[in-house]
Amino acid sequence: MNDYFIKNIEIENYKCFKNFKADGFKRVNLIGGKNNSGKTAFMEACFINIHLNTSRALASFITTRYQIDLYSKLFVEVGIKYIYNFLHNEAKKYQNYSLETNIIKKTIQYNEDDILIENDNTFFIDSIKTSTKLLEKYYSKIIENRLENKIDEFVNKFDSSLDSFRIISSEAKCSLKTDGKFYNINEFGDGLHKYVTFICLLYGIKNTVVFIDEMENGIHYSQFDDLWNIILTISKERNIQIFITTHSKELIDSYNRITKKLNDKDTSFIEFGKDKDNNIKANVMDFEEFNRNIEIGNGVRGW
Amino acid sequence: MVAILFEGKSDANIINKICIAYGLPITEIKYYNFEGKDNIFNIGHKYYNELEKDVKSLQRIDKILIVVDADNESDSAPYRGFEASENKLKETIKDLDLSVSIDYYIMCNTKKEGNLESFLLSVLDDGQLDCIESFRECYKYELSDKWAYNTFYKQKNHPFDFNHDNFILLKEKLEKLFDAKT
Repeated sequence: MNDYFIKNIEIENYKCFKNFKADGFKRVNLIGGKNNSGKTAFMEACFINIHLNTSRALASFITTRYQIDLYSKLFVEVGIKYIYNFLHNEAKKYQNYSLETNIIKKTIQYNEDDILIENDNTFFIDSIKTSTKLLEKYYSKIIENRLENKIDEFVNKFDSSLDSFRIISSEAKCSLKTDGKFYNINEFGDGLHKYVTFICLLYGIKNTVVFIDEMENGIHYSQFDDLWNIILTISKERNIQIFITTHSKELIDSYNRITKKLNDKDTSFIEFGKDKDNNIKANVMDFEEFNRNIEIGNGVRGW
Repeated sequence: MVAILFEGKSDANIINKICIAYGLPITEIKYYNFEGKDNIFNIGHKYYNELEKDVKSLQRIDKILIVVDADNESDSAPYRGFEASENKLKETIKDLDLSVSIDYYIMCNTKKEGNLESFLLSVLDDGQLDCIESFRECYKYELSDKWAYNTFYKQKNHPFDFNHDNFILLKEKLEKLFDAKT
């Protein structure tokens, strides 16, 4: 496993975590647990530890997490002071906690004067969304890396009647094999749009760690096997460590099926629960332990 | 949550059916397939590390039931037969050093021999038993209870009465797992 992957983490006094430790993370990690069990907060902690170094970045992260559109009419009306105060108050919540992974030990200190708003959410994704703007952003990386053909391959794999994918005049389009003409991606349904977005995201990055919250949102369960095939294959090819949360039993079963099929042992399942004193605990299962539990019918979605 | 430890996958299927029949909350059970009796008697086995993690670190398991086959004294492997199995179970539970209540159940027929399949066949009505015996006599070669179960009952809707007298002790032990007072 690569040195820049997170193998373990210690979290002190961050959100719902008082004194939390977990280790045994792999290249691809699926996370299950009940509501409010700390799944997302855990990913946030890992994300902040890996990707955020300044309070400026912290503010940007908060902006993204709360889905604040800085250019929306509402925010223009309420004014920048309101946004500043909101970010300031939120950012204060994130300070003075300690995060230690195998990569870096970090105590977050928030400096009020350093706040500057930026929007970059490449590495922390609240479910896979269908936004042409986002897709355009990811696809620019594909063009940069000359990987257009790879995306075409996946598009064709998804639907054999499709030939290629391109962004033309800020419009996401797919061409049909039969007439060679380009049609707006929305004409082919949400599933394809989500797929292309996700594949472009993964192919646009490498040697890094990415976090996806509740990946199953809006994706039909019949597509889960294909999705895992893509995630497991691309993450290996491009050295990407992935943490994904889910509530879906179908997504978990599919993960089990495909990791087994590919015999990908660099995978884990992390189950969140609480001990008798209400402290959050994580049960990190390796490939074999996870397989055994699924096979015997044990629930793995928290306790 | 409670833990039930057993020797193999077939035990899991049957125990799950029995628990459902008794109306027990099966989502509150974590099954541990130890893949063999010898593994259950080996407290150094990696599956016990998982159990220890669940009990001590994650604190998700409150009670444990270990289920093994009695087997037959004449078998060559160690700890075969009801008495030898029971003695080894007691020793194992003592050595485990887990701070939760641990009980055990030994699967066997009314002669305290055999395995899960022998236990199940022991509650069949006389007609069914006679039928199996006739087949055995006719066939002349030795046919195990496992064979009889797998051949005649495994794929069928099972004819076993889980409220038969032979099930009383197992039922008690399973219900005790969910009894908050014990």
